Amino acid sequence: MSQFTSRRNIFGFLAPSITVLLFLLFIPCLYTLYLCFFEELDAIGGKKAFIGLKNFRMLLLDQEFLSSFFLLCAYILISTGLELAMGLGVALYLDRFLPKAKKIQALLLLPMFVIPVVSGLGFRYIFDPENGVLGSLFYRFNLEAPDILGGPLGAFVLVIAQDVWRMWPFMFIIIFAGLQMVSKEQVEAIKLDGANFIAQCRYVVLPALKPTLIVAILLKVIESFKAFTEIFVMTGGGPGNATTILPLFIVKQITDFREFSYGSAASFVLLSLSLIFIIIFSRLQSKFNGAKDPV
Amino acid sequence: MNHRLKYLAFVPIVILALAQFFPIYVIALTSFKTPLALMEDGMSLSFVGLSLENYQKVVQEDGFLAHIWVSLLIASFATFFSIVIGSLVSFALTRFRFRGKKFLTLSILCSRMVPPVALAMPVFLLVDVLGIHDTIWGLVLAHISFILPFCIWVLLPFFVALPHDLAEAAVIDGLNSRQIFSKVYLPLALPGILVASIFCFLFSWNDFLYSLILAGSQTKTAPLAINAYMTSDRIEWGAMSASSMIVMVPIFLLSLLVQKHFAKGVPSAGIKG
Repeated sequence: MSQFTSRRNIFGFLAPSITVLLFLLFIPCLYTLYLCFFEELDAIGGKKAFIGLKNFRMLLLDQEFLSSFFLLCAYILISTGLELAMGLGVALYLDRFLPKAKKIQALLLLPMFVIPVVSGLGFRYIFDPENGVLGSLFYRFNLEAPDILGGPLGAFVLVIAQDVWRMWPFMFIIIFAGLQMVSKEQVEAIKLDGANFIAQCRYVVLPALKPTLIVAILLKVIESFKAFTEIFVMTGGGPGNATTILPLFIVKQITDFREFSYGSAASFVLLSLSLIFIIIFSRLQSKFNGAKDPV
Repeated sequence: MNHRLKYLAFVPIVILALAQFFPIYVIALTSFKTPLALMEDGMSLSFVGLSLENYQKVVQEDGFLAHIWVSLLIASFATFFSIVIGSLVSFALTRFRFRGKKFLTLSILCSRMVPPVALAMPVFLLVDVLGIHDTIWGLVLAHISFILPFCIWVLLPFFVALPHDLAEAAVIDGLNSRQIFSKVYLPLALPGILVASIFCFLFSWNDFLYSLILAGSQTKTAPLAINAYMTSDRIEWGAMSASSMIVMVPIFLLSLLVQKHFAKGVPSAGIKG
């Protein structure tokens, strides 16, 4: 296949995607890094002054940034934990009692297809204390509905609830698929030894499921770094800064303050944080795949 | 397991499914209620005051279809370019041997996981430098940046699955690599291309982040228009729900087509990607 290895041929096939990825992903990444060290003197694209690490120093002293960073961590930890529990629980339950019920599985996945703007607005409406569902229910009982989204803790809880509603099925499908690959013979064998369901899970199913669980958790964490729309629509980052997680902080720098260099420093933090998980993920993948080449 | 126990096992799952469905149901119901009925206290889940008023308002008075058109244009162009570029590179990655192939594959597959928010800043500046602010091309470009890696990720397994000897046979028949791609592989990869197109379209259609940053008055996409029903003094729940339904229902139908692949695709993302 001589012409299959000719350079000219390959080039035509690869050039478009390499160009796009270079200009839309790779160079933007580097440019973000570059901008971190500068300060804008006038409008976009205007003069810049080199200020070294000052942007990062400012970030470390910026209460708003620090809170957005820790809120992002809390958001990821809590939502991933809850979704893992839900996904694993439902997967084990369905696998044991209703392994053939495909239709109902499809129903459970439904929220994943709701567009983010709508899911944010839907949650906002449900918990609206005046005309929303919650307000209506309380009104029926002649009670004043609590303004959950109006309180910092309540808003954060609801932001997580929204994520859990939409994303636990994501964990579920991965785990359920992994469960199908757990050897049924081993489960039968330990069952014959008189092990109950919990023991079966603990000694056979969960150890066999471990790689799947790790993959599921990593994918969810990586996905969490993208969280923006639902939260922006639901709370706008408020009340105060109670739900301004790092991605919202970054967008605010662009849309509200036009602080491009400062925002770039924050973007760089988010980018490096997510890259850590992306690299762990791809390392693990090649480990799990063994010698098998994905392509 | 006896039958009664089996039906009992359905109970918690059905309750869960209903809970999952509830917010969608609420939006659907709200969209069909008159603004007057929505203002009434304690009636948000009742069936009183059903009408098509919100839909009429959204379509006729607010010109919502113009925003749908913008979204449709952007999603179509972004999908088209992603598919063309994506299938070219998928073909090359599965049929050619060259140096740096592994690295290229890995970086493409990893780049789909990079959060778009982290790149929002440079993409915003790039669009500004190119002077395509407030045109659909700015958004098409921005969307391609996160759709293309995903598109390739969906396409690759389809191209991997196509038999290798096809190319050899085609070479013997005297076809060059461009012909092999367009005449032999492209038609065979059509199911994959269809699935990938739907995914790309969904991603672009759903995007809010880049619309928020890049769109101006000429390019207000449908998700932005939905959000615009929420202003600081009031929220038009009826119009908002109606426009949400208009945006969502076609998406639901489309997603039904790929749901099977979606359920399959995610786990294989874990094992294959």
